Amino acid sequence: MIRRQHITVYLADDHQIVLKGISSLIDLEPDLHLVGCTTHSAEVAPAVIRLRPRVLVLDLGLPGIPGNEIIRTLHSMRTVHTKIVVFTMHKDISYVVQALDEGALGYVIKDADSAHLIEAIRAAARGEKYLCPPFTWEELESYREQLRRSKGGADFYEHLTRREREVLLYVAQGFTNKEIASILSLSVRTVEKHRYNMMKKASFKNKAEVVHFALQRGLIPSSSEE
Amino acid sequence: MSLTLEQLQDRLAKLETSRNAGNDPLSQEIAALQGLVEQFNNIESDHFKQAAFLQQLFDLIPIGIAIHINGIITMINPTGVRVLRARSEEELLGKKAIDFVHPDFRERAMMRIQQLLDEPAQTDFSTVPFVEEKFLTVDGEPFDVEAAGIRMAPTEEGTPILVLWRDITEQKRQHRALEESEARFRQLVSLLPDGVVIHKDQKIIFVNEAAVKMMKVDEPEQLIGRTVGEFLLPEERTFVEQRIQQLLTRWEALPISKNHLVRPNGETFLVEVRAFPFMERGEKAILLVVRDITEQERMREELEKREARFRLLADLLPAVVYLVDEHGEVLYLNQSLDDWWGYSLDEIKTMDYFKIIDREDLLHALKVFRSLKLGESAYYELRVLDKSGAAHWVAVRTTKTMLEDRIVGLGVALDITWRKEMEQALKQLTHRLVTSLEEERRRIANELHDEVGQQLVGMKFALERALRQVQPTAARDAIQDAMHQLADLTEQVRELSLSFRPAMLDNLGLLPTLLWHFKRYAARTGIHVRFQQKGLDEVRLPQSHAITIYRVVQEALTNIARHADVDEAAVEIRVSSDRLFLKIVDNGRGFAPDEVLRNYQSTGLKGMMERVELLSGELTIHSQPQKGTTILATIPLSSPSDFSQ
Repeated sequence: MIRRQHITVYLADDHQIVLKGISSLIDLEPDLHLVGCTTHSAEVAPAVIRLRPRVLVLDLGLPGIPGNEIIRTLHSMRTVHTKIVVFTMHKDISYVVQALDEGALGYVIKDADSAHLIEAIRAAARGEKYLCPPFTWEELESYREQLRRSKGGADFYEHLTRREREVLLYVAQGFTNKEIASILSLSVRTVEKHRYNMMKKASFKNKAEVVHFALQRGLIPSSSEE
Repeated sequence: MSLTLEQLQDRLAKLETSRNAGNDPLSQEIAALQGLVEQFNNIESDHFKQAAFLQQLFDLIPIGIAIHINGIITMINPTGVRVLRARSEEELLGKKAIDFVHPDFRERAMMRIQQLLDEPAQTDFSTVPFVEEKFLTVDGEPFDVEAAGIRMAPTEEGTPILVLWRDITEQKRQHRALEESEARFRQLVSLLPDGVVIHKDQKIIFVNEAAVKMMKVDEPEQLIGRTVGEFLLPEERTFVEQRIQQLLTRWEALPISKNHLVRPNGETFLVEVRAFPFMERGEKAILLVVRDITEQERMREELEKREARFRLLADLLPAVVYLVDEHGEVLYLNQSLDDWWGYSLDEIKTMDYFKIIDREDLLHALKVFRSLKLGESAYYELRVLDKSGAAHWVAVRTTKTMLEDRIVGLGVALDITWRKEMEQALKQLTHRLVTSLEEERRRIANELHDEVGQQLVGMKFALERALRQVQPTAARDAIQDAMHQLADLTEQVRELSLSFRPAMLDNLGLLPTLLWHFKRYAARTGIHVRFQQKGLDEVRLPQSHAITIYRVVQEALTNIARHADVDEAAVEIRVSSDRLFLKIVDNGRGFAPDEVLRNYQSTGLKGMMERVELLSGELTIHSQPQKGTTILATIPLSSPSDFSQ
């Protein structure tokens, strides 16, 4: 019988051998009670809604629906209070960040000591986060910082119109306005206008800077070495 | 005043003869005189009126008339007064006539006066000799005149001499100008590089220096006086004579003709002749301008020979050689086309050949051609449809040049269909290779991760269970040993799986995969990667692009670790709406990319290029020994090619 203080647990893993391992582990813990398990990704959300377990132990790599999507779906439901602990082979911080961002509370790798899984389930039941070693919260933050740092600022090139980009390309290749006009079937006046706008948006001061930019960007191939 | 009417009329006739000889300025005077004579005829019957008329004539005639007796002027008409610049008749009357003759001419004038006085009185005025001399005005200014003296019937005072004179200063000036201009003209003719010959009735009357030189004679006299026919080939004489006849009858310049001339030394040479008819002293003459074109003709023949050789060469080329004007009209086509595309030479010459070129390719070719400057050349490839409608790839090298006054394209076109097919086959092969390689890696990575990995986890659970159930310390130690080994094995399997293909590339995308890779790379090589990206966290790239970028970065970083000898590298990725840009830079040792690629020293570099080219992108490597390496790649975003799932 299920006692009120029992922590109900639902398992989702596509490997029987893993399911078996976890359930025998849980059986050894008097405060944990297994209410069901599945190997199919499509069954996870309906079972959780139906059985309302305190904690869902989820493998990220179930065939079918991606694990992070299952987390997102369940987390967004107001009537579902099930906490999620990710149990996976993936041992990279990016998976941890992603899963926690989607709404999981715990992250445990499968080849770690099983005690971590039990601890994570108990922590999740209390509404607390749990990270199994070797992950640390500092590492998590530094990864987020790394992501932020890698993000480059907006670039004028993205603000150019199609015509302005074309003009930039031909200017860099050394064509005159007149030649560009005939290549693009435009009037020389129109080419002059696009060129003016392009130079202004890019704050290019002269043609040499256009060529330099185009080379740097790989817009034009460079036959000579830099 | 004993001039009779007959004498006046006679004088008039004389003046008219003088005019016909070309002395035009007199014509006005003659007209005036004629008018007067007619009036005089009408009043002949009335002597009083006649006298009055003669007085009028004396006053009005534009010829200076004066009478002097014993050298003293006793009478002078108004024209005389004016011409001598006197204010009135009175100023001159009583003066010595000879003072108004220029000192240079005085002696002769005196002699003539003496002669007049010595000879019997003249009755025939038609023989009055007009002579040119110089008079002086009252101020002593000399001027040219034409003057004549007539002895009149003697009177008590002496024998009066009637002097007639006319101011011819202007005529003299014009005459001098004419002489000068003729001298200039003669000089010009003598300087002309073309021979100038004038002949009259085929008799040569003038040759310039160039003509003398051209005929290789020493003096003009060796040519003057001889007939034109002497210098012609017998077979061309009739032709030249016909032309002379035409000239004389039509009296206008004829088109340029070519004929040979025979020099006095027997040599013949080719000339170009321009002929103009003109009047020479009242007779018809012909002016010839003769140019030696032997050298020109030789050059032309040489050029024709050369062109024939080039044509032959062009016909032997296994390519199309063409000359086409701006409007697409074919001006020349070599003969080798017979074997090409199923069209005959006649067909292709008369057809609108623009129609057999793929429209898109043609527009591109025309655009390129129009932007060419004269003398520049361009290369492009286009598709030609053969008679059955099948497309053939043709490589064209063309240059823009001027032919006479037209802008034309001269080009050589080579069928490269086989090459294109080979390239296509090669590309497909590469595509299949890369695809199956990636697929295989993914399968093995999955297998290791999902199957082997999970089995290992199962074993871990089993060992953990065993550890809880057994008591003897020895058995527990053995189990814990096995668990450590199992953990190592699991880690190895994980690494192996990731090195085949990181699962996160498929699960989480390129950005986390790259960050993971940079971290792992730094841990293994000690090289820190500075990474900048724009748009990678906003856009989920197509899997084919993600895997290509990942592999290129992986390969490039591996090369840096192996060769560059640096502790830092930089990777930049920018995703815009239509393209993906990748840059990998190190400041390391660098190398000569052309050499390395040519010698197949690096299959890795080649592989990067091929992968990028499969996505219609372009990858370039910029490097120099000791100056670091930059790898640039751009890949258009909307490529239909997707070689990974």
